Amino acid sequence: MLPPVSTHPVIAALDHPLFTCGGKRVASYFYFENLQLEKRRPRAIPLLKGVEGCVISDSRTPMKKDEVPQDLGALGKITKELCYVTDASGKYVAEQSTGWEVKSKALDVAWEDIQKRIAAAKAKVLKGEASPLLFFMEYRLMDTAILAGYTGFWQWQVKRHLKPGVFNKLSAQKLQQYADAFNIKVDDLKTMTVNED
Amino acid sequence: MKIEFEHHQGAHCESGVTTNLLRKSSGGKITEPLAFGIGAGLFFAYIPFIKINNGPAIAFRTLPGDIFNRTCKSLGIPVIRKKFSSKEKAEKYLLDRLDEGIPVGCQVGVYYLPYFPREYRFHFNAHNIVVFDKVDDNYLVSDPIMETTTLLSSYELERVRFAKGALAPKGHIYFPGKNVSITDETIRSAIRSGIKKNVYNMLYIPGSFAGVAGIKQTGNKVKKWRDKLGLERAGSYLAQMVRMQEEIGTGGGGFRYIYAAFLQEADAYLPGNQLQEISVTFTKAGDMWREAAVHAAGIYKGRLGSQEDFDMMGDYLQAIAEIEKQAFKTLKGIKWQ
Repeated sequence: MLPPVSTHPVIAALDHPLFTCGGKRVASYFYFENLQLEKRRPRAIPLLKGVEGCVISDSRTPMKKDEVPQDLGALGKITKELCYVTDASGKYVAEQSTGWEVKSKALDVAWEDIQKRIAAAKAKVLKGEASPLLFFMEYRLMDTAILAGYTGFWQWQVKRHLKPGVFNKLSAQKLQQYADAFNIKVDDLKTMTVNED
Repeated sequence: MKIEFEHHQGAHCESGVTTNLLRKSSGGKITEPLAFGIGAGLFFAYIPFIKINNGPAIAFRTLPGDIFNRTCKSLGIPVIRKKFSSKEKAEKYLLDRLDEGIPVGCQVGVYYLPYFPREYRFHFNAHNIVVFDKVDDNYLVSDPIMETTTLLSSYELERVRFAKGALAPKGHIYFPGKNVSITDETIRSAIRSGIKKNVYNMLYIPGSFAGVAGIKQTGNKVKKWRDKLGLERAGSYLAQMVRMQEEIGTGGGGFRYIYAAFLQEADAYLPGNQLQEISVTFTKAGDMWREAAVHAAGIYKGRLGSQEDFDMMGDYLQAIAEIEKQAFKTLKGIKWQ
């Protein structure tokens, strides 16, 4: 028989003995089965949507010192990250982590999006719908505001220079300003050549 | 020149910089969690009209400079901060301070920060480092994210101090005006005012974009993302949220743990106020943020993708909003002993 639940459903669930087992976390807070919260506590209902009875989450959250994820990420190769975790007595200590798979995947997704945008920009330039500026803007993760900041042009000027016709007539000096902002050579700017640093 | 400065790694750049700058004058009393809590670092804001990498801006932190500012002011330490329009003046000012033996905090952009891995270099301009010495053409830099100190050439430092885009640093430099000795009594009152400020930020900012109301509203929006944006873009939005939440320099789950650590340390200064108990609630909030991140990962990895999965994601955020609301209300209700 489970003890009664007294306070707010979410917090009550978290405090519930089922939540921990022998000092080890076994379940997330989606385990409302047998608690009969549904009818009496309308605020708990959104939590129960789509949840059939008891759902046990097997996710690894580094609440405990020995559960800190150590999935090598891009940053982990260079430096470990510091995070605050609880030790066996519940006291907070600083612990190092080499990364967490969940967030390195999020970073991968961001870069996949960027690669797609670069490819789309390249296609547009080759079709003559945009000037090579667009390609390098995407390549350097810039928008017109950032590019305007680095070059000293106004944003409306940058937008104009994105048209191939206008771009082809730009003076050598203006091209140099763009090349400096992108950290490339003027020739590479015109030909969309990437020499990676 | 040789400046006495101890580098310590931090979990968050600004509280790390604050701790490092105050270490000497506080005798090591101001730890990172204390700086974070006194500076009222816990925050949430959903700002749909600002786009970052073509996704909505979700901030888990206050404006750059706030933590340092507030921590120093609460501790009775005068703050000197400056921005520059000229790069030459900015460098001269920095060199003069180093000549006087003062380590200084600098706001920098990470895109051209050479020691950062390429994958992490976005046009993010609210990173903080300490510059504490110069040898030949190289500045000695203490970046709280890194385990050790690093070097930046004067050109590299200038480039990151004058990064462009949103929140452009404009050579922003800051340091404690003078070394004031910090007593336990000042720390106690600073802790109280830090908690008060954070309660305001999370519960009472008008509108529904910030604080716990912001978390709740984001939960509502997430449920609509799948229909509105299509599965792929909705996944990208979620990935962006997780990056904002867990990445260095930001950190949502991580921030809750720092705040829980702060309350634990505060409990030693102000016993009998149940801060230890409230700390446990923040640990739980941190765990829930991380569980939400795991669920979001299921979506952007393509393992999940139905409308129910998005509903559940929204429910996670709403549950988090609820638990944090309770926690901050308890903090607000404290009758200080």
